[in-house]
Amino acid sequence: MAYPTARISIALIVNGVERQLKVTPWTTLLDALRDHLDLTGTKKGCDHGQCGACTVLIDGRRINSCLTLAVMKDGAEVTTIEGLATGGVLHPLQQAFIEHDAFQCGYCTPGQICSAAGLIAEGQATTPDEIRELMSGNICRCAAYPNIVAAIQQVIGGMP
Amino acid sequence: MINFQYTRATDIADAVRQIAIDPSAKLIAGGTNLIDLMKKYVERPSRLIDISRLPLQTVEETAAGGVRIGALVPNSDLAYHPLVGQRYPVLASAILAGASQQLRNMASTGGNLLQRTRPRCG
Repeated sequence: MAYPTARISIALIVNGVERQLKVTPWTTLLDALRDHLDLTGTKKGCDHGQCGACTVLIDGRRINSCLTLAVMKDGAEVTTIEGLATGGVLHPLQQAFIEHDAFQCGYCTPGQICSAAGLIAEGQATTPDEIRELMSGNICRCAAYPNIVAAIQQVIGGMP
Repeated sequence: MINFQYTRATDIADAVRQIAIDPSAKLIAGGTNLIDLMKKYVERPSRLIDISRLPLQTVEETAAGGVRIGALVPNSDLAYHPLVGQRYPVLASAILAGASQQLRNMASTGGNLLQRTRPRCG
């Protein structure tokens, strides 16, 4: 059943840049990023909030963009994997993932890194066990988990 | 996903009024339960009434020594709230034992209590 629903104009501050877009109410933030803004770094895995591939930061907090309606986030600041590096310098997590070989196929990696950025901002994890527990929302089917934990632990340990 | 109309409630009275006049509408806050079910065609609301910006986001001590939790307090904020950690550590542990941090950052306390559970269907 189709409704003659008008698209709704919203503004999102994506990676520091205000973007205007018109979306249907049922457009998820994930689809808005990928299909409307061409930011395809954020991945669609399960599309049901179980795998974490779609993780982005909204106002600094990590969330599943596949279970978020874009219209509900009008005015919010969204940070995706494309927004983590600054001035051509990789984010410490991106660098650590490379150094620790923390991925194989790479499909889950943008979500893993955005989730880890959220985890560090939360400040609730320091030990490998705590990192594992609080990264449980990000599945890696290549099972790079030991290296992912090591990469995150290195960044946490290197913080002042 | 199904098509639907979207409105944002301006205050609590407006949300109550909107849901009262439209039995096929649903309130949405965190969305972690409802959107998942809508993608599976289990829930098919004609309209979503967004209550996520209503002022129900505080955790406060009551005069009787209890804690009053706003319906829109995210699960993670509640679990990490000092009052909950000190007085209700089992509640904090229970919240942190469920879902993932991403979902806990989105899910509201009220929605958590009201969620429609379902059998696993893939």
